[in-house]
Amino acid sequence: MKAIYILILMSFYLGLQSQDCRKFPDFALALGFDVTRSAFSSSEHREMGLLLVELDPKNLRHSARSKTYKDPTWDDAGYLGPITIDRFGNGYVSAKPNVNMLYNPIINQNTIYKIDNASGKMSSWLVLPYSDESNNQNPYGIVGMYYDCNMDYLIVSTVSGSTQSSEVGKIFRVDVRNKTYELICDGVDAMGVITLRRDNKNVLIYGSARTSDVYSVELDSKYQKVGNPKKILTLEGLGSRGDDRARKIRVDGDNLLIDGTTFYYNLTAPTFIQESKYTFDIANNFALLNIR
Amino acid sequence: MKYIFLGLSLILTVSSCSTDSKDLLEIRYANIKTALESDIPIITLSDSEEMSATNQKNVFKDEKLKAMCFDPATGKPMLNEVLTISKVRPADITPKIEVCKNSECLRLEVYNFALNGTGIFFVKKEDNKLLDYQFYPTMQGDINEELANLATYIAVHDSTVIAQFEGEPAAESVRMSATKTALNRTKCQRSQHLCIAPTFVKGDKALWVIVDLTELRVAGTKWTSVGTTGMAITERAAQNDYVMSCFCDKENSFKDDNWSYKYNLTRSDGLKIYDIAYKGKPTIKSVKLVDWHVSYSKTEGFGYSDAIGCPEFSQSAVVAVEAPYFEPIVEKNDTVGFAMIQKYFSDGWPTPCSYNYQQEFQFYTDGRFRPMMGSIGRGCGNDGTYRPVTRISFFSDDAEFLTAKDNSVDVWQKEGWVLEDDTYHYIDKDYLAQIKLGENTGYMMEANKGQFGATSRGDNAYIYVTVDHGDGGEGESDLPTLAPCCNNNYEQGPEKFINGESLLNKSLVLWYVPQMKNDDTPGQKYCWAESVLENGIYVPKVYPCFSGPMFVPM
Repeated sequence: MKAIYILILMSFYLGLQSQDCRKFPDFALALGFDVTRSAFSSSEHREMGLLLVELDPKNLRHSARSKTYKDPTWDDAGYLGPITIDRFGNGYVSAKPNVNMLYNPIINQNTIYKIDNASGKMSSWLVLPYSDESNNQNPYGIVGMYYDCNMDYLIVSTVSGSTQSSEVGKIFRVDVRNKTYELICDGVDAMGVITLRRDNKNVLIYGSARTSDVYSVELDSKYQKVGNPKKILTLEGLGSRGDDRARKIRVDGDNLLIDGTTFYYNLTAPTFIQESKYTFDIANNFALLNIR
Repeated sequence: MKYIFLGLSLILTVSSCSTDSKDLLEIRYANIKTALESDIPIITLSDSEEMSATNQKNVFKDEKLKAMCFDPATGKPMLNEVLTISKVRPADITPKIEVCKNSECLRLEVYNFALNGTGIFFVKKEDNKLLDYQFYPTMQGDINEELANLATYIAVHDSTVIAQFEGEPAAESVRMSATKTALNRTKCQRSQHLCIAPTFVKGDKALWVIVDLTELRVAGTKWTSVGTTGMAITERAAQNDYVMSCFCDKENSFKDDNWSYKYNLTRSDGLKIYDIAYKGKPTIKSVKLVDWHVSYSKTEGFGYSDAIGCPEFSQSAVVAVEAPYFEPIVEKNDTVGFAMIQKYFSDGWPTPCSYNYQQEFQFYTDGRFRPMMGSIGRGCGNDGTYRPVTRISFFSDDAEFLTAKDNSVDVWQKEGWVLEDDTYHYIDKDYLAQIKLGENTGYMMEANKGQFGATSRGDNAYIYVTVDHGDGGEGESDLPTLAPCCNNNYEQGPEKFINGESLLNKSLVLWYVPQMKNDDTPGQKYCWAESVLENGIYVPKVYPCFSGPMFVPM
């Protein structure tokens, strides 16, 4: 899977101002990168690790890279996957194998790496519990990450240790201020995750890694799960493939935006990125608005 | 050896179907032929009350629509079909077709089978003038009644469907109360073809038949329970489910008068065959394909190290989407053995940077055995070298590995490796090595110098011999990727198991890493594949390369 994990920094997500507290990293500013059109990318062609890119024009995945930067530490963890950034300008990223496991040992797949706001150096920051059982069925660990501005939590989904017959994935919340973590959901293989306030309640929305379904579950004030997850929508039958998984979930005003992609717990890497962007109307019972 | 190209498979499908009074496939082929031979390669909607066939074709005479009708490189016609014609609805009206507020206009949905996309056309009915159009790649509109009937016809005449349904669900019987059918939407994600799923109910089960209307064949089947919900039945879901349940999660066995063995599809080492016996005598413990290393010489360090295997829950980059199958080996009109074949595909093959690998195990009635590793292209460039890593272990606690040295044949004392290069000393001119598995038993290992047919040009192989400790180590269990893509020396992975151990009085593991250089030179294409436009659709044209020594019984 060569899915794009680009984090568009700061002002690109104007619609998310209520939630988007993310700060453009100081080191990137010092390097002269334009705040309005720069992004981290973990899926640049033939590039292992992370790359900071300046896009021209600014908001297209395939835009020309007018400027790039790669710190020497950014490929220390092999190929990388989900990226997010906090209100202090620190980046968080996890490893994700690409085509094979040569540069991504399974024991590192549940590690969160931090990119320091000031220096831009990447280092291992937190190792979430992972299955140490030998498992040739699932090369993946962390597959989803989201920064919750209200709580300064990283919401992290991992499928580490899951097999064809056993779903043992987890969703954690990690407090970036003190590096502590708590389990939100257990026995759930999730990809895209997001937390939001809705009807004065905290809600976690996640996309299943095993099906095309997207679920919602209420959280209490400490982000502990309240009740059981409820299916709110599905990508099944939609788009050109009909079996996409919700890889990334975001909110833009009244809309829920989902990046859907193919995921079958293997290391296939289609030449053409198999990804679609789905928009759902939150207020209208998650009715589908469009697919791009 | 036989290669069934997609174009040929169409013909085979036709000839294998029983004929009846209204052979819809024959009619379909005739319609395609007529359309492609006309100046506008389009199958019109025959029962439209809104628009005559001539008017439908005339819409496409607009020069702007040439790109939808003809391949820009070759000028060959691409097959199009009018799916639906309807009156323009108020919601369709844009500034470009404002005239439709006061005039009657028609909306045509036209599917392009070559490009897998749908064009939506707005036409003023009065003068048949094209007002506006948009082409939507990957969009597939609603199919028309002719295609629906054709899909049902293909389904009920398919031998797999008949076998699974335990009888032919003939076109008439599908309407009986006990055996109903419905046409369900489905997706053919891998082939990117137009597909539809006639679904036949029998008792409390429903058989989904995914019919590929681009290639006019059944792409997959799946039984479901009536009334229950589950994952949507698509080409990928049906293929994965079949391969996973029948070959990944299950041990299979084969036995005939000469050979017996077991086999299953691994998570990263391809199809593994094991416990191989010839005429009841165990010979080879197991054979599997650990890695494919592909390196490109024009860009240093660029390439891929691909594992092959199960389509889900695996470490495979190129996956099995079809079952292994058998073919007879025919020499001089005599059947001298059989081959078991397993194919692996990247999505989108044969587009650039996608791969198609093949394992073929040849079993001869005289006891010869040839494990073959093949690439069917296409890869990322014309400067690629393929190096598949095959692991073979033998039944014998006292095996010996011998190679020629000057004028003698010597037993290897320790683990090691050797390259079959221009200076290699063959035994009796043709044999890479001798493998003794006991008193008067074992194999001569015949080199592949291109004598096995047009798909082999020689192996130039690295050969490694290591000790088999019999404890699942040394790579007997599923192996992760052993080595990076682009080492152009002996460091292909098996050397990691070489630590100077004595080979004497031991069980042995043989590792075989051939080197095949691809070629896209016209007339010499090798390890290559490309898309060509045939009969209005793009089909792969393949130039395989195969490697592998022949094991000849002593």
